[in-house]
Amino acid sequence: MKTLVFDTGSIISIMTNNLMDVLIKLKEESHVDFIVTNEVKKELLDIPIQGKKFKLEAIMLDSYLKKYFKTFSNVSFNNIVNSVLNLCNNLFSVNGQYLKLVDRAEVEALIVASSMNADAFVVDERTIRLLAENPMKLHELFERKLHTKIQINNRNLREIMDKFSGMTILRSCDLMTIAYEKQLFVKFDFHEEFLDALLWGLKLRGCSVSEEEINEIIKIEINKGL
Amino acid sequence: MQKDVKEKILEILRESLNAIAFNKPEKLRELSDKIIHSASIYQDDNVVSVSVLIYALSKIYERKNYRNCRDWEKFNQLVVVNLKKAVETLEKDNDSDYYKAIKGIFESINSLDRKLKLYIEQVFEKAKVHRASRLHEHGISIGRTADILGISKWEIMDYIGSTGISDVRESKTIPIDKRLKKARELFSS
Repeated sequence: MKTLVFDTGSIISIMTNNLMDVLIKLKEESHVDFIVTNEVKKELLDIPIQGKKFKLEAIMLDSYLKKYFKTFSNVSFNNIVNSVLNLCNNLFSVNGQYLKLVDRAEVEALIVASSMNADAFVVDERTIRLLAENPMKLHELFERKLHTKIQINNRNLREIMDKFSGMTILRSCDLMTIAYEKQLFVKFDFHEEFLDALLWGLKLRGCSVSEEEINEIIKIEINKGL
Repeated sequence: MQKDVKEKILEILRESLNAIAFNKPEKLRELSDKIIHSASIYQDDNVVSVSVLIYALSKIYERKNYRNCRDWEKFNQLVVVNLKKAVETLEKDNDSDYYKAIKGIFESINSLDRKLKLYIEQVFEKAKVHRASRLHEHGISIGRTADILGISKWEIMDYIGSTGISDVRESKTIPIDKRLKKARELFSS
């Protein structure tokens, strides 16, 4: 059985676009296990339920999580989570001040995906994707945005790259493009405007995909002749 | 409070008082953007709360219709008096009175008439989400910014989508065809 570990943001983008049913169809058709960590579950359910704005989405999401997602919980992971959190948050510094880049839930999901050799880590959030795929891009971004020289802790950089390079990272927009290729959007007229609307819907609700990438995906799908 | 944090906050508060005195809300916006760099680096509660406060004030002062509300003058007075107090106390390294002065601005909202109170509360709530998105734009993760600002990831995700954050060149890591190929392999039944 193939396994996908999800970060909070990717599920939020899918849920707020009302695409959970499509995601579940994709899961069932391809026999893939979906996993979330306890911390991710907390962010998806416990926090929004306390407010009004996303309470409905959280309640609706709860039934999907119960039925179709496995929850990963292992206290023995605490030490490794702390150690990787420490690596990531002591990676870049400005005048001796380290930049705290990520939070516990994000790192925990990343570690679970890596430790269990998941087939992919699904993350819509940009910083954690850059850290896993190309930390130097994050360094570039900080230098450009903060208009200052950012020091790198090379030992931590090497450790992060050793741990996470080669990992398959997907975003909600990649999953939904596959769902589109598999013609899982049966309810709707199937034409290229639909793909544009789908990808923009995900982008506008927080998926880190650029306009240029959206145009590339559309071009790829047109060339495939769907 | 760290010495360099204190200096940054003092500079911003002094200039903010000037901007209010000379009725330049756009200057407040600039100051709020200026301190967001420090907020990204230090992630200190004091810097973050000043960034939210000054951004919210820029929004409040730029909307001329708020000035027609019954309690506008009262609000304006409370802001100016408390900002001056914040500067004076910080100059004297009196951190506890500084916190009281900043808290005084946030608390002053409760004493306003219903209409103005509602407007201003909404502006402060939106200001938190906006500042969170600016921190994320600088490279701090959504989770970390949610922690710093005390808001949920749902709110940040909802907001950042309408910004150009994911369109910058550094956001692209691997070619899209390569990523889709991996996805196709994974979902081939």
